[in-house]
Amino acid sequence: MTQFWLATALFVLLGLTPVVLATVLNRRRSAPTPARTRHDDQGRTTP
Amino acid sequence: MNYGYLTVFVAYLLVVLAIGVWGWRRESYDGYTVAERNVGLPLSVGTFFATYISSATVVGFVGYTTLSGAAIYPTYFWGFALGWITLTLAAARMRRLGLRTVPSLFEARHRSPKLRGFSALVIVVAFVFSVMTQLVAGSIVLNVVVGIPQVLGLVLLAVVLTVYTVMGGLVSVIRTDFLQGGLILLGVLAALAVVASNVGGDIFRIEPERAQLFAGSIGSTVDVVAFLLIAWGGVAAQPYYLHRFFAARDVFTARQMVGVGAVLATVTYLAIVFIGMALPSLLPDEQLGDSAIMFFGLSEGGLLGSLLLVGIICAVQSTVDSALHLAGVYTTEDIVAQFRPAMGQQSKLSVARAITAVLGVVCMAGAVYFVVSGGEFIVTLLNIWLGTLSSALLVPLYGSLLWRRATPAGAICSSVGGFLGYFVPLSLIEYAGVGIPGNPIFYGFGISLLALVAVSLGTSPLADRDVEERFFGTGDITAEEVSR
Repeated sequence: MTQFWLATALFVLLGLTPVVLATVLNRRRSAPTPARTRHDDQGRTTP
Repeated sequence: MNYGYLTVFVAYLLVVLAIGVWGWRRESYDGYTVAERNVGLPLSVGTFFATYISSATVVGFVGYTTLSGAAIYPTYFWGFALGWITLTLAAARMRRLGLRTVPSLFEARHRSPKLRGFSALVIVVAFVFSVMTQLVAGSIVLNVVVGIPQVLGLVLLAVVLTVYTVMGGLVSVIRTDFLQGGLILLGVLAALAVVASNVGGDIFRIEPERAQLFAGSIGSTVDVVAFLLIAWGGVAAQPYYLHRFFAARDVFTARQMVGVGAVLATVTYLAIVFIGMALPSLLPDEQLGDSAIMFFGLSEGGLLGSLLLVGIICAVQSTVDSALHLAGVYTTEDIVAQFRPAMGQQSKLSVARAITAVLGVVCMAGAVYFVVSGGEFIVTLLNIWLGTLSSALLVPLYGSLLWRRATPAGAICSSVGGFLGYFVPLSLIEYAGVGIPGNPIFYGFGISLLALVAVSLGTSPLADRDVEERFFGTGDITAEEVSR
């Protein structure tokens, strides 16, 4: 019984981690930087 | 034939076809492949969630829980959640690369068209088997619940999803996914509510014999590690989800697509656990297992039966359309276009549509063949190919993405080594009856990891400033990226 609820709690913890992680990472805004160089699928630099 | 359910099924097919026709008007190659890279958060979450929940989730995981109880956590759910965390961490980097396909990452990173072609081939073949298995599963549901002959149901399912995928590409797939995701969630939560009322509201009372983690496929801690590895790798390296990063509007959307999608998936899985835990007290023993949720839906009938039927069909189609779409796009972009580099966008669009249509027909014919011949080894083949996908793609992909020292030779050896490391032991166990210690995933993953590290350290890295800047640049979020 306890084992089941611990397993469920671990799953809920792991399952909610992405939304917390995404929120924290999205808030870590840095100062605006110049737009990065664009590349095509072959990795060539394009204007 | 149950005409009530038939009406619900036909109405559902007409709605998804209408969405396909709507997508047809947006004719561009970028629209077909990556939905113009302009998909906002609600649609991104919808497509992630719906693609994530397949018939294996709704039918298979409920069935597994009715038989093995809490073992569902170490067998699948913990590993899946680790996969979501990995995807969240990879989201920004993948989105910024601005790629059109997952295999093209290898060419962009290592200048290796061969590795690009090889990984595309592995993905496409894996997806073809995945599509066939899901179609067979969907046709069984239609046969049991609606009474439609299995081959007819299979053809209906396949034709409709092929038509809307070919017409609208990712633009349509994402919109149908959004609808399908909502219907899946509704079906599962409705089933939970009805199960809860049938057990007298005591849904959280867990029988001690179902609370054991070591049951079903889990016999030891070694099994826990093996299944964690398979489930984590299967999600983290799954092109379905990685591809959706390319379509997301910006980095913010890419990360939260997984974040919010994981919340929905967590809720769905918890509902599935409690449904699976309670069904043994509501159904006779012989109805437990894979068919349990269908027997329950049939016994309840009415609205719940309809919601469950549509939910299961949505789970099938939302996964199959994504697999079919990616198989068509990756064949065009990573294999055909390598031989015909001069192809313009419009030609590529036509080729992608034609290939998607042909693959749809091939998958349908293959699935019909298995239904008619009564073959069962397709499930074994699917397991082999999904495991191979994790072994051949997981380490080289994340190694190339995150490890500056990874070299082209290291990535190629890792991919091919992982493929053989999983496939050969599994084939020996399955078909030659040879006893090999441990789970084949240990060999596939181990060889793939070892090959990447050893060969990369033994060979010279690619000296290319463009690659260096693109993959390991400052990584700051630009003003344009945070503006939304």
